[in-house]
Amino acid sequence: MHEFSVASELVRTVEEAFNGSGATTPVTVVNVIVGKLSGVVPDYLKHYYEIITKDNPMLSGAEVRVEIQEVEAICADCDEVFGEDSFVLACPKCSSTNVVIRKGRELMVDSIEIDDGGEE
Amino acid sequence: MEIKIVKDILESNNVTADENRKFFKEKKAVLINIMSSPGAGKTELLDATLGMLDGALRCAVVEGDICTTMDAERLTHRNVPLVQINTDTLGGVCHLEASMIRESVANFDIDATDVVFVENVGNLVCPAEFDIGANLSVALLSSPEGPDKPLKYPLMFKTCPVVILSKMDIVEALGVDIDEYERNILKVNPTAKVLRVSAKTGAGMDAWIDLLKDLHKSNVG
Repeated sequence: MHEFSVASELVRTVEEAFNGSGATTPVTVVNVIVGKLSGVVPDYLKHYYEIITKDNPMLSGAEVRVEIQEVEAICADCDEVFGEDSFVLACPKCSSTNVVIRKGRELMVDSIEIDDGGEE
Repeated sequence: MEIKIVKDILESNNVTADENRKFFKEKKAVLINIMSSPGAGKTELLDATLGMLDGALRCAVVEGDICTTMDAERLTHRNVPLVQINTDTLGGVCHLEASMIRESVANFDIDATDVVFVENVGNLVCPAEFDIGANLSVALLSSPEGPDKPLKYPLMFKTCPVVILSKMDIVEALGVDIDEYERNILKVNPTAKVLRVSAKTGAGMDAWIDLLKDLHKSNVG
């Protein structure tokens, strides 16, 4: 959900990092981490990134590379660590639903890659 | 060349939410985010709440809707400071964000306010994803909606420490098992405090009012 507003924020973050780097050649890759429970569909995110950056040649040609973060949860009752693609999680060991989701809700820009033409 | 960023994409909302929390703490006021599907009874609950808190806590309300000022108009008779946000002027967004709350609060005399209630846009999905900096998030689930909703919309019910089962006055007419609603809420959020309330008849409202008073006391003490 909200891929457009998420993509807008993504573009803003990428633009800030790009401008701060002083680079003069375009961004080639934007590395993003999307948690399985983040509610964001990677294809829509990529699609809106393209739309939002279409008039910015420094950003528009970049590949949005998405790494999916799997769910990791811990049972607050028996400390069992497990993973399952659901917000309604029951511990596989003790069946408790008193569970904390530790990973799987991320929505992060990890890095951008700029083609520096192979310069040292 | 790779430039590391390692930044939460929704950071700017979360940063503003933290600023809101800090601001409210400094001003010795509490911010309460009330969420539910459309028609679950948020405005009705607020209307009754404002009536019962009159004289006890100084309240203000931020109403969030895509269109119309109908909810704010319903509450004007309570004579509390009121702001209506219409998100159609902001692109038709289906939820409120921290920055909208920050801007709205500028319309109040916050130094003369104890509690700001935010009635979020009616929506069981998106509002739960956006931290507005509230001291307390409350979800309403009304008796006509069905006991399956917590299981279908787990994020909302998981992120709200308080869940109000509203429209309790028609449970008998509906023939529903309200215990099943509560079981499903607790399945998704085992530590949720569930209150059974009818804003119309007043049943269960005392417990809600006491909770609000205790919240205010513990936050500003």
